[in-house]
Amino acid sequence: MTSHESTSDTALASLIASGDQEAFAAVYDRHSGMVYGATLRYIRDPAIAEEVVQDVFVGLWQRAGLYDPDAGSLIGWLLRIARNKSIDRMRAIAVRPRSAVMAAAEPRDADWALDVAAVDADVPAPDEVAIRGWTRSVVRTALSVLPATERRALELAYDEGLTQAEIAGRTGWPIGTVKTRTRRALANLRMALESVPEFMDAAGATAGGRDGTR
Amino acid sequence: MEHAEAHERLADLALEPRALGGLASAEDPASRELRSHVAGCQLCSADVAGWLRTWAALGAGDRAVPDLGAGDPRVLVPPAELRTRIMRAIEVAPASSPASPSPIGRPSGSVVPFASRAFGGIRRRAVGLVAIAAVVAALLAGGVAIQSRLDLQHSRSDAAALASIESSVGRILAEPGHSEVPLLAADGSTGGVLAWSDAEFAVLTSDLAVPAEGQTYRCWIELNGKRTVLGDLSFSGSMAAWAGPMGSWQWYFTPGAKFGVSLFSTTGSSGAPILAATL
Repeated sequence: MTSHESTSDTALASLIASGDQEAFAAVYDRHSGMVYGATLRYIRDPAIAEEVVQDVFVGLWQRAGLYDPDAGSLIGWLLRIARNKSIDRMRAIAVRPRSAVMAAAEPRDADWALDVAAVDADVPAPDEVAIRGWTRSVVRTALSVLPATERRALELAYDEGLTQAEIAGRTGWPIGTVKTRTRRALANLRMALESVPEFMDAAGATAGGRDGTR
Repeated sequence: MEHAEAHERLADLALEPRALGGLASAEDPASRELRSHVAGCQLCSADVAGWLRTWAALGAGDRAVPDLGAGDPRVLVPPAELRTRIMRAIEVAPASSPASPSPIGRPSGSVVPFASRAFGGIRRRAVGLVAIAAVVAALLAGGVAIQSRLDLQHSRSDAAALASIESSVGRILAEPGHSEVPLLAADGSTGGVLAWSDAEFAVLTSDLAVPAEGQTYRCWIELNGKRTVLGDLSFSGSMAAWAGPMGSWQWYFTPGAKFGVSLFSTTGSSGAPILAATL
């Protein structure tokens, strides 16, 4: 844990650009779970996921000066790098002979079977399959790292279609608390989805909540 | 309706996907007024689209499918050794240089001699694109000189193409995950560079002679034995370049794919690759 708990991502990125290792450690502690979780869910191989995460963060150390907060959140930027590197790895797997692919990938569930089908094809995998896979990984990870109360608020609104007032009635939370939790959860999810430009293309810039501080 | 008020109302609506989605068809005066503002406000319309897509993403999460390692929180926590490894790695890795301005649009006054072709290892390849970017910028800055050599129509077209390529190169360089490979001539010397990000790619070379009438240089990519033409290079002075959006081409930018530039005649026949690279 570092002394930068309340320092914004933007400020941390500037410090990293000037060679501040403590700031780098703070960003790692704040965002590595999201980057690692999304990458591991997508790639399904812990060793490769670790390599990707290492590439992403060493890349941050070497290129933090290129980060532009006006263009998106830091976590969105990191996840975009992870996405590119992860898809590159999956492409590399896709060009291996079939037997190597099958040996490397043991299907674990229907979800994984879909990904294997994508990388196992002779022709390049359709980009929409990869994008869907990455989006799914990001969403699941973004939800999993939310506090349980925020996740609950989103699920009640989306899965059950409840209004904010109905959520307050169901949970016993004050309406202001419901709004705060839903808003924070949505903003975090939206920042994570910046790593899927195809998904957010028409969405334009993120509205508020760019910074990683809580 | 003022933008601030609209923004605040949208922030409230965004909390309920049904309410946000219903804005498009709601007929009460307040909704009509808000809708009218959104229709004319780029920021608000982008905001609405963003929130709608964020809610839609929850469906993309496909949470009904059992998650990897459900109930096992360790899968979300990077191993402690990874942190140690990364902290060690950055101690020996060169730190980020402070946000330096892109070389694009800021030629130093002296054109970097691309002809030196000092490419080779990865670091030198990175220097290559920056050098070429400076050449493009310098060519743009010297638009008058270009116009003195070419007819007006061509010079306008080339200047526009170069301006577009300059923008592309700038964006690609700014992407931390961008890739570069040198383009090799038949004798093994480096004659140009191919660079790409997830969004676009650019080809730059100063190694080609201006094509004769009825001929053009085309870049192509070959995967699994199938060659696909990407586009024709634009010329300006000694510089030839092409840039375009990545789109679905990204699936061709696969390790082992071949990229090249060949001279094509207007009849469609092509010669051997003049420049080539293996990705």
